[in-house]
Amino acid sequence: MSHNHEHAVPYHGNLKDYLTGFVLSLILTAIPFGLVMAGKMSETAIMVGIFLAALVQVVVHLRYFLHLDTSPEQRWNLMVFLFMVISIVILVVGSVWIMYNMRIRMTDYTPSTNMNMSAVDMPPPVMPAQAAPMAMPMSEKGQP
Amino acid sequence: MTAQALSHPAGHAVEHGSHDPVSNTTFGFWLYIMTDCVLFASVFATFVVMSHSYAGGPTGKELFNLPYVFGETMCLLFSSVTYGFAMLAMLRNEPSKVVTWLGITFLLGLGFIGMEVNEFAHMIMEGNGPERSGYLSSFFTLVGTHGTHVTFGLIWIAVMMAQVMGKGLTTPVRSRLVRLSMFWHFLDIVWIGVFTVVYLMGVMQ
Amino acid sequence: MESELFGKLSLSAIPFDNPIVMDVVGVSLVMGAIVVGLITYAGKWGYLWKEWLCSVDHKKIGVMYVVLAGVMLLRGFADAFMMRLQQAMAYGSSMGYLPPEHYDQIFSAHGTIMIIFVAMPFFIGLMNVVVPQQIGARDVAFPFLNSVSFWLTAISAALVMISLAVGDFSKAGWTGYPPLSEVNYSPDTGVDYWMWSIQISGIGTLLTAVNFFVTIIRMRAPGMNLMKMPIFTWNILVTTVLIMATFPVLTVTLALLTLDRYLGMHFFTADMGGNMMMYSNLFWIWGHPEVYIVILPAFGMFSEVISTFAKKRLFGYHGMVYATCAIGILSLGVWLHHFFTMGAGGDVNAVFGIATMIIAVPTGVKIFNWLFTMYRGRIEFTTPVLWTLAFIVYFSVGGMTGVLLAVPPADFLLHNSEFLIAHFHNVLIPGALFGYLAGYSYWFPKMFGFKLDEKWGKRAFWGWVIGFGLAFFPLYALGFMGMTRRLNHIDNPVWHDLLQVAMVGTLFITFGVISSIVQVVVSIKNRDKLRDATGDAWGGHSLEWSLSSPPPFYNFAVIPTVEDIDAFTDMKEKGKAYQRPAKYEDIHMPKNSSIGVIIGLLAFVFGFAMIWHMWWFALAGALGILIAVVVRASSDDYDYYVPAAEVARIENERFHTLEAAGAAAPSVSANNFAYQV
Repeated sequence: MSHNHEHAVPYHGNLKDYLTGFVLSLILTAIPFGLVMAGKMSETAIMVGIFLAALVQVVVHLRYFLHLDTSPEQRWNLMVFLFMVISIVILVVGSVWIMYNMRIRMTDYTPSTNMNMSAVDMPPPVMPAQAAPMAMPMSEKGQP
Repeated sequence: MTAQALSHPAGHAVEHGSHDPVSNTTFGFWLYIMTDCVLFASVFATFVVMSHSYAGGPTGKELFNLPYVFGETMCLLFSSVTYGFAMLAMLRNEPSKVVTWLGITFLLGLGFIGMEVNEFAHMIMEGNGPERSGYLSSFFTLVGTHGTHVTFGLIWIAVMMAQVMGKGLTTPVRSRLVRLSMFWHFLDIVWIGVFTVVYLMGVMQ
Repeated sequence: MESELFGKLSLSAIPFDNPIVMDVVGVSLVMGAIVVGLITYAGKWGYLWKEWLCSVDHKKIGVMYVVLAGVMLLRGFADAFMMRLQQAMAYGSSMGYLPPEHYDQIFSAHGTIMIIFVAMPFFIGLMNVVVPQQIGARDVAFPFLNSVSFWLTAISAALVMISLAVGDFSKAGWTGYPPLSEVNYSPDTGVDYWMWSIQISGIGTLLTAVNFFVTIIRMRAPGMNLMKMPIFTWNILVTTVLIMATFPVLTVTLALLTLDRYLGMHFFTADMGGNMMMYSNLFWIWGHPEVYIVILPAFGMFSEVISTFAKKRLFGYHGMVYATCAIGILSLGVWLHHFFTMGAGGDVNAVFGIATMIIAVPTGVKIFNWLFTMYRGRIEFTTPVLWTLAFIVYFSVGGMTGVLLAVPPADFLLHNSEFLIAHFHNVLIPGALFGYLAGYSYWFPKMFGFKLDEKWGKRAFWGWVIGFGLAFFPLYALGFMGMTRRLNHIDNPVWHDLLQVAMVGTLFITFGVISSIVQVVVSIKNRDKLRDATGDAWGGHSLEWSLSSPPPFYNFAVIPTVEDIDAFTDMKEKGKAYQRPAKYEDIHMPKNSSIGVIIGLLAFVFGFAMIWHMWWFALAGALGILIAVVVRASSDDYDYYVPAAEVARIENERFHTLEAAGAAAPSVSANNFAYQV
């Protein structure tokens, strides 16, 4: 392989990386599936488990398959990636927070509704158009 | 974009302006992938917000078959590795091996899409299509958006197999193979999010 | 109802019964026929196709963007005029001249056009022309992609224009809130026109952002590190980041609405688990940063203009850069202030309210930097400077009313009132449009080789400035008096007089718009007198002024080395400007390509067919795009070398002109003061 090609195509893969990534990914896929299918632990523990496994697996893929690292030639790729992560966190956390807050405030309040419940324990949401009296005329008129 | 410049005699091109065209293209493609991440994040956010909007319809627990999803996951994971082997064959300058590994990757990807289409078809035939509830709308859209990406990836793999066979491993072809590898591995990463948030969390609700 | 061949399309889609629309369509057809006739008469079709439509030259693409923005500005302004006239007329027993369903289309089209098809192409056009020249590059990173981006934007604008003649435009406002925009309540094609035109142009914009980010990061001249980058380029860099971070969200929002409308899904419907509030949430995650996407480039233009004409270095360059970045990041986290009244809790509203107010801080830093740049400068009161001064005054007012609206309890009173209308026009017209007009007259010589006529430029300025004040300040009062937005009939006598004042303001703005058109005509007529022989029309600071006006297609025969923020001023001071290189080298350039236009046309086919439910035609368009992309992606023939001899010929001509203008002598700084109003 000529030097020219090495320069032209910025690619750093090697067999060891791929195999390491593959084995780690296998494990990190088996763990969450196993946790959920066995169902032996508390829901919170399983939740934490599968999210941790997913997070680690994403990092494994980035490192061993996409070859993202902290080397100088990857600096901008990494910076852009980190900025994207920040944007996505703002987007997803913001949206979920806003919509969850709205759902609590617009669901029929009954004494049994415990505001301290986690999102997972919430009863199925009643969407505002169905629940809030003020929105009723809209949804009735809307049926074709 | 201007990868050919590099095949010109060295003294010919004094490229202050575009230092390294191939790496520009790779960087540009990385940016595209980042924007695609934001796109998926928006769909994920929508899915999470609508994850309880069953409207009397079925829940994830009633719909999903985890061993089946595990099979899909394995298809994609194996295809990531076989794509990696195609890239290693490219580094060793073995065009026929590249085509073989790309072909295997293609088949694994096709298997994944086939399983997904089969799953969708079953759900729709049982009356649990995307118009059944907000939850199912967001399920079909999130999983379908990923599936559409994989489908385009398959078309791209087919085009690249033709290019490797027709043109050999020229610099532009290599550069495209690198970008395709980024795309393919990226889709596998998105799938980690999908099986965690949609399927595993879905059966726990 | 739907035929297999034509979907929902039939002759009845053309509103023959609506005289106003048919007049507009008639006038447009006549004007189009005149343009086509003139081009045919001059025998310029081949030239137009080869040298412009298929061009991948960033300067020509930039000019085409600016022309597109200009045409759409006239359309958007006509809509504005019609709305003002209706509100001034439709009082008490008079119903005005616009029926409600037409009025609703006009305000929807006005907002959509002004944001998506005026503001966006205007700044993208100027950045196309200027950014590669400012950073010492010969083109953008992906010239062909640039052509695709332009054509996706242009055909989307064409879709909006066609909605005038074929079918309706959306009646659901430029934000297209569901459930009104859902198929139950808007069954006609209006929302589809709105949706697909924004969707397709949004993809073009996203590709442009990727293109320019790579260009700015990877293709700067040697010596130009990030902190020596011209301030306009900095603003564009942050803008492209914002586009990449938010336009995908718009794509998703519109795609989900599309799925609702076309496949009966339930994302934003009022029933079956749909959640229409999620639409507002997603829309404004894009929509708020979008405001900064259109304003940051204008900030960059003001900075360039003010430092050039004050003949000083920009005050607080570093502060300006950090402020720009801060505005960019903060703008991602304030979107909820567009729907304080939707029902989130006090904690959520407070967080977003405070975040919104914080944005005023870096913006204030910028205002003070501009003021200090002018302080003790030798300011020339040219048209671009006048736009900048009007901006500083007006924008400060608009910004302060924005802080007022950021207080949730105040917003509960003012939400969707005319106060809001006054506020966002007060930030977007001075903040974005004045900036683009300043940038347009500032860089016009760089685009065409001659300056714009100052007299008509100033007339346009006064028309806009007086008109703006009269047209929008009454709306603040009307908002406090309880008038809501989008009314097509007024029965409150208290509002009537102020609406008349606003109408008078609109007449002044009309004078400004006409003056801008006359300015172009007069300038073309006097172009020899207004010729910019040296290429340094105003004594500029950055590299674009070191080139001829207009620059050769390769921009730089020799890539310059940069030693200072104000690279060209630095060269002039050190006597390094206009130096003949020892020898020229071959220059590597991209080839023009017709595939950009073809992809654009196919996207038009796809969009139009989807709007009218002509499925086979849409499929044909989509397949066509796929094939065009594969063909292009399989081609290795996209570049060529300009021989050194050809470069030498063009450059020698340039030096000849420079010597004739007396600028090639070492003491070029005298040229700085040659221009007097």
